[in-house]
Amino acid sequence: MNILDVSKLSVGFPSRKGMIHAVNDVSFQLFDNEILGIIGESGSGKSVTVKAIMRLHRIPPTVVKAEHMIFEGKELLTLPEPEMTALRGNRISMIFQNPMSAFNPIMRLGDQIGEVLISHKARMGRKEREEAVVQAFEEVGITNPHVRMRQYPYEFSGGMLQRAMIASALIARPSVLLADEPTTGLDVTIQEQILQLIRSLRDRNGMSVVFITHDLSLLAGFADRIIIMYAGCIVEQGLVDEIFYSPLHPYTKGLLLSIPSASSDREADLFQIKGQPPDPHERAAGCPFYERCDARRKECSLFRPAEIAVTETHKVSCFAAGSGKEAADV
Amino acid sequence: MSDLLRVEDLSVHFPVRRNPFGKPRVLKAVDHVSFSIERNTVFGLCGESGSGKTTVGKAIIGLKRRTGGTVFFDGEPLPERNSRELRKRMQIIFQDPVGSLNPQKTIRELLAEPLRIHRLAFSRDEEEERILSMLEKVGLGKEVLCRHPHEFSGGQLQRICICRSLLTEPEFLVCDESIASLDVSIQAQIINLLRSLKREFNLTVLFISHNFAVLGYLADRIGVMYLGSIVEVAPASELSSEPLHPYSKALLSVIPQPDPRLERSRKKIVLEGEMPSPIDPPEGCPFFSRCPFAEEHCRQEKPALEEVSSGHYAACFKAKELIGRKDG
Repeated sequence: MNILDVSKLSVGFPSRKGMIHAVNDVSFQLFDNEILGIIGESGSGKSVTVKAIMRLHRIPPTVVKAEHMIFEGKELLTLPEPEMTALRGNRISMIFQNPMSAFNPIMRLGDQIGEVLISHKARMGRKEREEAVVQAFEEVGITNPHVRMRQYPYEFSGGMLQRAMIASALIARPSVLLADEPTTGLDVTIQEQILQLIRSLRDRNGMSVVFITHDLSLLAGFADRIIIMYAGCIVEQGLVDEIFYSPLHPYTKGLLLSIPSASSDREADLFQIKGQPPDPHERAAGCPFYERCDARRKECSLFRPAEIAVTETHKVSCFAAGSGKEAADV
Repeated sequence: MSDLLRVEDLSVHFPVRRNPFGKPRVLKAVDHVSFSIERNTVFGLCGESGSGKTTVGKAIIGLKRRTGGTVFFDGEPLPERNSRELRKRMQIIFQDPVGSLNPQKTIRELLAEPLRIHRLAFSRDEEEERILSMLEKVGLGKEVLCRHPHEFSGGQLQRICICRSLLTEPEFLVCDESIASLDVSIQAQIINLLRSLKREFNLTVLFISHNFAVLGYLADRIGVMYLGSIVEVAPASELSSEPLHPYSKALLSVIPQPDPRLERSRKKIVLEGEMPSPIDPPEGCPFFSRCPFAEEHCRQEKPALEEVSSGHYAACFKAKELIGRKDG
């Protein structure tokens, strides 16, 4: 069962140089209890997509268009703002890259996290609320919760603050957690702690997670399914094994080949995707990856390739990949 | 082969005060670090934030004052303040190319600066010629010269920074997280560029990074830092296949590999807690508080960096026992 169904979502920001097309016709679904990884470079539209789901863009000036965006049977596009407010932080929560700027620096952490309960669980008393915060802290592995909840954000380290943010996002038991690069600023040993925490909370409480990152390796052991974004478009999506072991889009292949490791051939150069991501002001009519692609053909510059389902779960938007053979040896 | 750079017992301590009248306390950013870099090789320095790896790089270049120890460059000990001649021979490339280029100057002015400071060009024509030939080597053309930094992407700016640091024809280059801020597809381009320039100019490189995968590919030898100390030094291939120090073992076990089957099957060592504060660090082994093998002995005495097998050094009392143990 899918819990979130996004169809043909486009987001544009007007600017002096014309419209910036940050997200173009993005369609995907999020299933119950899965961890969906979204990977892309800066400017690929991954954060903008997730923020559009939370309706965090200011409209206008931002232009958000979609066929539909259905969450738990509700159409998010037309949902009145009070109902949307009731969903945010309650049924669908979000965590961000920089926990330091996500919290109010002059308010005790326990009180800030308690605010989520004040707005969503109106009937809860003060005592009950404090107990809930203590329990939430314990759940995310913050030791000494009674002391910690009376402290301010600056008294926490980056990793601990990220745990507090997760506690705050999950205290109302949402069914979807949107995580926007939550481990990017953290060290690898702390990153692993946070990843394991999110996984175990998913296993214990049951929820779906959308995890945005630019680190493809991170998703190998963490995600169930992966979406690959490039220049505002989804170029490929599939189960983890499909993406890593039988990638179809030239961009996905390039990304996988350009990951350095101690076991790569040290004498040979790393594989590199040539060129640079396209200017977001100028969205070409054809495939967004055309300029940098090694397998490009004439039609690629003229038409945007449609999404082809290779298996039930594996979908790719590429003319070369569709015909099968040539794509294999790019 | 000889060592171009030898660091002996390097320490960088900073005094810190909680309040203006309080007793100053000592932050030991780098504490008794020793290593050496052979000519024409890449030495990778790896560690988490706060481990002191950047401070080591800056102390060598002369951007941070050394509070103890000696750095030998080409056989000679470095003076307290590096002379202009030394600064010409050692260069550094930083993490953030946007922050390291003056936004008000054109690329031509930015690139001419090192040549003028070190008086390397005798005429405008020669200056132009040297700039253009170096620009070509980093994959840029002369059309960039009249533009300002804000007109470029991060990858292009990093190329400009690399160009600028190589204009003085240094022998030794410090790359401080030089690819960390770049997008994945651009990272590979810059890694390849640095590799080819290293070969062309016979550079000796100290490459500082928290990304072990990059070091494993780029570096010949790798040093692992923790809380201001080097806990292990080994050839890159040996360190990735057989880390000896419990910290290196844990660190390597949690670095994500782009292989789902491997990720599902391998055992990860998740360290508890976080790195202690470098202000008044623990007396004994710096890793004591998080080490799964720690004994009473480790709390009292700091283990020295000792050669465990040929070319492989570890600072752990139990390093010999841990050889061949995969469980961490």
